[in-house]
Parts: sequence; C-alpha cells; structure tokens
Amino acid sequence: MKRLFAIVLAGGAASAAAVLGLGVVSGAPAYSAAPGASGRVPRMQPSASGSVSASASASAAVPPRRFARVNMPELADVEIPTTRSGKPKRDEWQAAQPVRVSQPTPRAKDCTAVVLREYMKVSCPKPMAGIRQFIGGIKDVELFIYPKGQNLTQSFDVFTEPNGGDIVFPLRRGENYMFQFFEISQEYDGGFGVSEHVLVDISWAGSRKAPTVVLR
Amino acid sequence: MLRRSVKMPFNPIAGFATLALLAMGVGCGDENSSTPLAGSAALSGSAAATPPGAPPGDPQAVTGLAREGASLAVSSDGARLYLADEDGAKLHIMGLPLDASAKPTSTDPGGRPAQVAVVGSTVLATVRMTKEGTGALVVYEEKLGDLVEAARIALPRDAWGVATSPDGKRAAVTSAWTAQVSLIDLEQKKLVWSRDVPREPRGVTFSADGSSVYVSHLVGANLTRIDDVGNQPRVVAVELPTAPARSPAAEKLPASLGYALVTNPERDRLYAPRHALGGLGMNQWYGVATVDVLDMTDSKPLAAPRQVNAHKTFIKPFMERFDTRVQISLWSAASDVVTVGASVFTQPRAAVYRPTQGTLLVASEGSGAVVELDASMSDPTLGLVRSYGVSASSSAAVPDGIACGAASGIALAADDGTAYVHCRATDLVVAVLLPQTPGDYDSPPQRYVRFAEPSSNADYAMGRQLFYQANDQYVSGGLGCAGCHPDGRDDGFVWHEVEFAPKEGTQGATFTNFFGSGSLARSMAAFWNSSPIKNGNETGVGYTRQTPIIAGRLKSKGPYGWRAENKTLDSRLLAGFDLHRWNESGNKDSAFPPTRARQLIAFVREGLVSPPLDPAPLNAEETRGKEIFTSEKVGCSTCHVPETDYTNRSVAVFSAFPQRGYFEEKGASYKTPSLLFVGGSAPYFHDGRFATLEDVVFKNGDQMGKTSQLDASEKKALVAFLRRL
Repeated sequence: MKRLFAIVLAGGAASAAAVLGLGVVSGAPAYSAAPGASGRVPRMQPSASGSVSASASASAAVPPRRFARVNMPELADVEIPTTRSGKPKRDEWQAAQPVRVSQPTPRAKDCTAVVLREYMKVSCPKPMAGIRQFIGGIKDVELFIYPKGQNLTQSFDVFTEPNGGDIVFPLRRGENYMFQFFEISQEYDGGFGVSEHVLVDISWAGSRKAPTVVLR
Repeated sequence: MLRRSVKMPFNPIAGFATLALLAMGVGCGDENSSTPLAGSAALSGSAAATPPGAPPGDPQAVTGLAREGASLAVSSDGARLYLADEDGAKLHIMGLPLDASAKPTSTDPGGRPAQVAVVGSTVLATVRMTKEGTGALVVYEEKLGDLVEAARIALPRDAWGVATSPDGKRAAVTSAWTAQVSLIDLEQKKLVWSRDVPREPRGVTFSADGSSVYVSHLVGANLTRIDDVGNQPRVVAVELPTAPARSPAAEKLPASLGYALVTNPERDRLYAPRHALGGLGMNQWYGVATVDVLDMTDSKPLAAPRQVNAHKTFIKPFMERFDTRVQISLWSAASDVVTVGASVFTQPRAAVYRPTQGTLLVASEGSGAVVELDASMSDPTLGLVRSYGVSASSSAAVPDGIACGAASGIALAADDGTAYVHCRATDLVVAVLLPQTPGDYDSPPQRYVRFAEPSSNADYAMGRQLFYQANDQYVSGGLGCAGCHPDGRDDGFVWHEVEFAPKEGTQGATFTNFFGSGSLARSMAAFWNSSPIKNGNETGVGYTRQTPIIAGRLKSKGPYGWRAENKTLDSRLLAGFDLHRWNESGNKDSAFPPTRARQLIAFVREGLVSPPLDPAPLNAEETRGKEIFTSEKVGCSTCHVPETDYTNRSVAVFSAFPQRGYFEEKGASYKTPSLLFVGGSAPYFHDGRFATLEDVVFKNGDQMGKTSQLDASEKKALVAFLRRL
C-alpha cells in the first residue's frame, strides 16, 4: 500500500485529488453509535464474575470496552441458527454474545466479535479512515466508522474523539466474506497517513460445524 | 527385476526409535488392512493433528499413508533426506541433521528425477524421461542402510508429480508434457491406467477416502479431479477461481505455476499455491502470487468472488481537513485497483502443511524465501505469519555467503521444527529452524549441504540463478524469467502489451510495458496522469502477446521478437529488461545489463531442457502429415523451414482478430514462430485465438499455407505430424 501511495504522489497530487470524490462512500451507516469507546450507546461491561451486563458511560475518556476473553465461548460452541432473519437493529446488539475467534496478530487483539442470531459484529477501536469489503455477498452486510467528523475542527481530533469501526455480516454455511479496516495513523514526521489495519476473513465450508473467523 | 543399491547414512537413534514404535504397534492407516508399505511410524505432515484453526467436531479422518511428493522428502524414521536432483539427474541421500562436511550419497534413477515421496520404507521417485523414451516411477525399498530399486514402472513421458493413497496401496503420477495422469498399483507394481487431462499437470493428491485424485496445472485456473480411480476413472474439471480478493471485480483470472497441491490433515481443504495472472496489486504488472483453497468435501472454492458493488465507507465528510497525503492515501485505499494485502512471495514452487501450527510453508522460487501462512484463512496469502529469508541478500542467509537460489522444494522434519529447502539454482539444501511458538523469528543459524559442485562456467552459474530470481535490479522487475517460462516452457497466457505516450506538453518518451490485466494498465495510466495509453480504448487495452516456449528454441543467432525487431538474443533480452519494468531497468550506460544478458543466454541455451519428444518413428498417419506439410501444394514448410527449427524467422502480415479486453492490432506483421514443441503449447497464434491444433489447421483461413483444400483425413494427418515436432 505504501508503495502505491508513493506512485500516486509521484504521479501528481492534483490529479489524484481531482478524483477524490469517486468511489469513496457507500454502505452508509444505519446508526451513529461508537462501537469502541463512546458513551452514546449502552455498553456491555464484563462483571467481576465474568458475566455480561449492560452499563452506560458518558465520557469519551472511558477505556474501550473489553471482554474477558477467558470467559468467552469459542465461536464453534455458539449455536448459530440456520434460519434466516433480518439484520439486527441497533439496540438488539446489547444482547449479543461475545465470542472468541482467531486473533493471532497484535493489532487484532483490540478488536471484539459478538454474535446475535446468525449475525456477527466485529468492532475495532482505532481511529478509522474507512472499511472495505473485498469479497462476499453484499446483502445483510453493514459497515460503520466513527467519528462521523461533523464536530471535528482539526485533523488530529480523530485521536481524541470517540472512534473505531464496526462490520456486521451474516454467518451462513457456504458463505465467505472478507473485509479490511483502514486506520488513520500518525507518521514519523507528525503528519497523518492511512494504513491497512485489521483484515477480517470469514468462511464456512460446507463440511465444517462452525464458521472460521480470522481477524489479523 | 532390476536392482541397484546405494549406501545411505544411518542415524542409529532415529532408526531405533522407529523400530521401537513399530514394536509398539504405532502406525497409521487401517490396522486391519495389510498395506504393502511397512514401517510407517514416524510419519509427518499427514498425521491426524488438529490445526489451531480447525473448530472442534470437525471430521478427523486419519489419512494414513497419503503423501504428496516434492523434490525432497524426509525418510519415515526422520534420519535421512532424499532429494530428486533434476539438473544433476541423480537421487541424493543426506543424513539428518544436515552436515555441511558430509558428502551426500547418490544413485542414478535412470533419467532426470522430478519428485520423491516416502511411504513407510518405500521411496518413490518420478523420472521425466528414461533412456527407453518413457517416463517412469522408480520404487525403492530402504533396507538396513541400502536403497534398493524394487521396480521401475514405465509411464507416459515427462513423469513429474507423485502422490500416494491413504492406504498406501496406490500412487498417482502426473506426466507434464504429455498431459496425462496415471494410477499405479504399488502392490502389483504395475500401471493400472493413464488418462488424458488438460495441459501441464503437476501437483497431485488423493482425497481422504482415496477414491479421487486432484491435479493442479502449470497452465489455467481449473484443477482436475479424477473420480472412482479404482474402477471407472472419470476426469472432471474443477473450477477454482484464483486470488478472488485480488481479481478485478467480476473477472475470473487465469492462473499459472500450479506446481504443488497440499491438503490439511483432515483432507477437507486443498491448497493450491500458484500465480494469478492479472491479479491486482501494487506495481504488480504481472499479477500476484496466491494460495487458493478448495473445500474437498464438495469441490467448491472456499473464497467467494470479489463483488463489483461491494461495500466501502471512508471518512469523506471531513477529508478536506486533512493534508494532501491523507487525501491521496484515502483515494488509493478506496480505489478499485487496490486490493487487500500485499504479495509476500513470488513464484510459489512447493508447499507443505505444518500440522502443529495450522500453517502452510511455501517455497518462493523468485524471492529466495520461505513464507509461513495462516492456513485457516480463505486466502492464506493474506495471513502471513512469518517469512524466512534464505537468499544471499537476506540477513538469515546461509553461512559463508552461500546463496539459496530458486527455492524449489520443501519438506518438514518429523518434529515439525525444521524445514528443509531445496535450492535448485545453487545446488544446496538448507535447514530452516521453525519456531514452535508465536513471535518474531530471529534468524537462528541455518545448516546446509551442497549436493553438487557449481558449474565451472561462471556465466552459466549466474545465469541459472538469474533465470529464477525475481528481484534482480537489472533483469526481473518483480517476476523472474521462470515466472512466465516455467521449465523454459510457457504459461499459456496472452499478455497486454501496452504502449504509453508521453504526457502532453512534456518531453517524455514513449515506452511499452506488459500487463497481466488491462484494468491495471488503465489504472496505472490514470495514477500517473502523464502517460496516456496509445493502444487502448473503451473496449480493450494493449496488443495481444502470448508467452512463447523458449526451451530448445533459442539456438538461432536471430532475429528475435514478435516482429523480428531484435537482431540477436542479446538485444532481445536487453529490450525485455525494459519491457517488463517501465523502461527503467537501471543505468543504461552501465555494463551490467549486457553482462546479465550474456549470463542468461549461457543458461537458457544450455541449461533449459527441451520438452521430451516421442523418440518413436513416425507412424503412417504422421508420415502422411509430414508429406502434406512439406508439399508445395500446401506450403507449410515454405515459412516453417524444417532445417531451421521450423521457421524462416521472417515476418508476414497477419489478420487482426479482435480479442475481448485487448486493443485490435490491424495490419501488423509477425515473425514466423518456430513450430518446435507446438503440440504442447496451446493456445495458438500471438493472440491465443485457437485453443487446439485442430482449430489451427481447420480454421486458419489459408493464412498459413493452403490448408483449406485438404480433406478431413489430410488435415487430421497434418495435425498428427505437428504433434511430433
């Protein structure tokens, strides 16, 4: 990615900027809740006993929600309905079940995965430049990034505002999806860049009991 | 029965361990069946381990003695390494652990061996061409330090890949040039059947129940499956789209370099390392390396195709508040040419599954590395776990500055902690220590063994490395010669030769570059905004240029090039260095490019082995075809002169033929191509318009000789003769 950016720069910023409006936004968010840190949506916090309960927070300074991984069930141990249902609404996600999926890389460790009916939501807390879907069907898929930017006055506000991104997709046998988060990163010279962040790969081969979800 | 024997290094500890395990009844396979292959205690790779990515409850079919061959294999007791040294025409045996001071012992398998597989105490080696003019599977038995030839089974020419069935009773062998797959009964030690399959079959493996075999090809994206191998074998094409996440949306790309097939221990996933021609990536005019995954339970690809209208969302609402760099980066990330991830290897040549980690180890011929990939992903290429450098330029280089050129084979030690890598271009086997736990790889010392002395011709030795190497500053531009000319043959692909005009108002020069996909050419031109495409419009980009076979076709002084534009092979290579890399192959005043050309010529003329032709005399139909070919009435030999490799090397005007996605080249003339090895180099013409030789002869419209006057039997005879060239 970095090399491609270098090519673009070599080729002329003006031409690239001229097409900035092309192909940038689709899959508009259905709601504006922050998935990782904000207090706009009641959050589920792990209790001391490890069970999950709903709580609310009003401060952006509240640490990002984290689940106690050790108490989470493996995705393979969660019953996933084979019947099709509609996409969960915003409030329904409060009752979602946190699950353990493969997260072998350091950058993926901060992300969380929850299951509700036959849907999964993957949330990652970094300041996000965007999310892309690369493969898989588009029905019942939604992407959300935060902040929405309306209240930002300076570019570095992205590091202090509530931030992160969500991907919602169905878990259905025989279906495969791949998504990638792109994060806003601060470069060595103090400027900003856009980098590939966590890759989300979902596959459910016909012979397997459960889907395979990898966050890398 | 022919018997040859050779002394092998014997590791007493490993040997006794094996004996002890055997005494305890430890083994694989059906304990009630009587396998012909004893001593299967220390099997690696296909043991029924549970990979980390496999969810509990998955089928854990014990796949027993099923093995895929490679250019090297570890003995069942873990004490020895067997190496099929194709270039040296020997089978080498090395003691483990590798010891640089110990000279390997060797045996002559009676021709160039391509692969070796170990099943219990039996060692199988394929031989591409024997002195008798056939391919062969040579069956050896290990006996107290000796390797004894137990059988030699004649097979179709160019026998290459080998695999054994889960019960160890059968072997399947691919014959590359003759495009056949054979089944061998290892109990009876005889050929059961051979079946025709598409071009260049290479990798082969059995299904979990042994009833089917899967085959990969050097040419094309489809795999082949042969069902009911024990009774009525049926050949079925299996679609496996290549690199779907990195393909232009809604396009199915062709693939090449399908040398290997690997399964997981459960045998429900089949991994096909190869090259996606036209796959999108950063600066990757040639495409991307990939590992495509098939669900073996239903023969369906694991990865879905890339969608035209896939979702994406970016922070447009406040982009203007960021600096230009962020804006451009955002545009790049959101553009259709950018795909997920980056290619982490080039020219995959061999692979092995690592059971304790649930990973794949892939030998990257072009980049002098072994990469470890997350096998649980639908595209493992995107899950790089670690990269192990084994080339001279890497910090983990083999000691004493010895370079591992062209990583061509890989085998895993029984303890899963060491990979042995066959470095074909430098005649080395190196040991790569593999960590058992997550974390960074900190370049532990590597061991190696040299199994052959380097050529005394320094140009040849360097040219041999350059042919495979993808990252030489002057030659390769990201893909080695062998990336398009595997074994000196061709990838069956028609490239886009794109001509860029100088930007308006500048003094820039016109230049040409090849692209695997027209989409990428367009996008790159747009990125630059300074190089409009001269030969492109809304319907197609670039002229059609099919990869030619070069092995055995480079004896002539010249001219070379599609239009005979280069008088010598040197000048053709120098032009090629530029054609593949934006006219920027280094300092043109430097002595390096001509030196590189000289070195490459030394290797490609002497070191590439021609496809094995049938040595039998022409039969009656072929003789009749030869008479037609050389007759004045038809006139084939006027241009395709038999005495000069079936070409007169002059140019002739050829009709345009609009090919979808390419720019129509009207009124162009092309050099008469050599017809040597034409029977195995489909598709035909510069644009690949004809899929078969029959189409060439029956449908060429008298553009080549006067074949329309021939009746059907004469045309058939002409085709039969062409297949013998």
